[in-house]
Amino acid sequence: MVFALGLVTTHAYRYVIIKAGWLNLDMPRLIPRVAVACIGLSIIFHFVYLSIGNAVFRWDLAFRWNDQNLFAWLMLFLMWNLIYFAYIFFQRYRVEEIKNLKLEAARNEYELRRLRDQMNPHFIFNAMNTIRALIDEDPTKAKNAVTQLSNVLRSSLQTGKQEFITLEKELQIVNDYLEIEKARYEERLQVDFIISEETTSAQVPPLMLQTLVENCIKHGIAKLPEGGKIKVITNRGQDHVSIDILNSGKYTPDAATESSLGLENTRYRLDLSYGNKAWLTIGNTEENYVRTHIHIPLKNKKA
Amino acid sequence: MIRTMIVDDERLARQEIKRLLESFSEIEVIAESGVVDEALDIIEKEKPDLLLLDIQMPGKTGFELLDELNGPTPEVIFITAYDEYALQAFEVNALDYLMKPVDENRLRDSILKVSKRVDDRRESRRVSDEAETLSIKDQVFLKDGDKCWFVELSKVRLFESEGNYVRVYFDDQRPLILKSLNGLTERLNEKYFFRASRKHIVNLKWIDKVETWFNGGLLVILKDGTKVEVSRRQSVRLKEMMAL
Repeated sequence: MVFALGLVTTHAYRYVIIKAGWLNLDMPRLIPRVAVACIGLSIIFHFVYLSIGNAVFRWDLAFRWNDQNLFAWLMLFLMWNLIYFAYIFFQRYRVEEIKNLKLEAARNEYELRRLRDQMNPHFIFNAMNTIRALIDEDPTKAKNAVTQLSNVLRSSLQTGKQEFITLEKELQIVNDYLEIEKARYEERLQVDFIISEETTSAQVPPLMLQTLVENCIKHGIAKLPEGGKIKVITNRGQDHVSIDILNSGKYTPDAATESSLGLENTRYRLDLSYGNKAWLTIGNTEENYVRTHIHIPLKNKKA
Repeated sequence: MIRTMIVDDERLARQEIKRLLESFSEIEVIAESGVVDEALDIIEKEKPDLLLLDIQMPGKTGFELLDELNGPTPEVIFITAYDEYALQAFEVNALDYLMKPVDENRLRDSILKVSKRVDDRRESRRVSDEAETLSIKDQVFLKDGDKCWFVELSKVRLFESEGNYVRVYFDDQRPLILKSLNGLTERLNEKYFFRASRKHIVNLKWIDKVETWFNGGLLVILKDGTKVEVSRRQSVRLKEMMAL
């Protein structure tokens, strides 16, 4: 009888716990509630226990506060609560842990993808192939290409971790990168830098220009049988720097293409670093160029 | 000698391949080109045995080049920098491709395989007298949407016209290609391929049974169970051919 009665009571109690939202309470608020509940429950339980006993088995026992049974019920209820809440909290902890692990995995994957995207394998292997051919044909050029490739690779590995680098440094990476592509495309690629001295100390997100210039090659020059030109122009405004990258070709806005994904990434990076104080626009010019325009504030923190 | 042509838009890449090929006495580089349209003309004029073909090129890709090619498709070794993605187009066929920078040993393996196939083809062409048509050992390049196949003609059971397209039956594949049945009839050797009707060309080697059909026509049953009706006029021809 005690067992059946206990089962009914604890099930009812568990229903109340869930309905009343006790599972979401913190310890200081939960403990007094549980204590009061245990005392209350053991009193009610004892009362019911006696009533049934008196009615069915003709015990003829009176309710007494110092009854040993009452104390035993209290202990049992406390024990039940302890096990129940320990179980709930343990389970919740495990769910939380899995969530954290998943989050961490996602973060690692993102980092890995970022690194891999920076080291575009297509670029690396084509560069290696160019260098191999140059070793026979023009050893000096081959040596230079090895150094430039090393510079680009080193920058990808190192500067990726920093939040900002100077425009001067970034332009150096872009220059090394374009030198390698020039060796590969030969007369099909011409490069023109028009850099304002006042802009070189500006702080920019690392490898952002490099990524954009790489896109100019991939979606512009590489698609033109006759090749074309890339121009990088920087200017300083009162409180900002503007960078224009022009490449031969035609820009066709298409949300599904890889290039627009690259642009979205760049916009996202600008937004992270500068908020709405920086922006990127892209469009065609009248002289059959695609112009990518970037506006970056001189103060690099979000206001 | 394997008459070889190199197609790559980068001069230095072509240079590098040429230099690698110098150590193969059986290879004779007869032409090179950096522009797909120019390459197409040269291939049709010179009919090289082997094409070393870059995939990513400005204007048109290597796949598009093969698709636009009339006449037999040469043996092809693709050369690419890093392009798993493009190569996924080939589902069934084992195809040869090399990664840049090209490894000399891998190149040697590829050339060995190719030279066997080139010999096979030459033998087959020597046996069939007509030089202008495709021999049964010749391969054709088929492109249906994103998927590509190299198929030896001996494996093709049936060509079936569907509007402006032709469905090609081979192995367990049946891609749809943009060609006309009339154009195909001209290029296929009639020793092996028979124009059964306005809609069908069948490979004679694949015929299992021939049954009589309405109005003196015939019904051809291929080894895979496909049934093809033969028009009345062509039935007469088929009977003559079978009688021989």
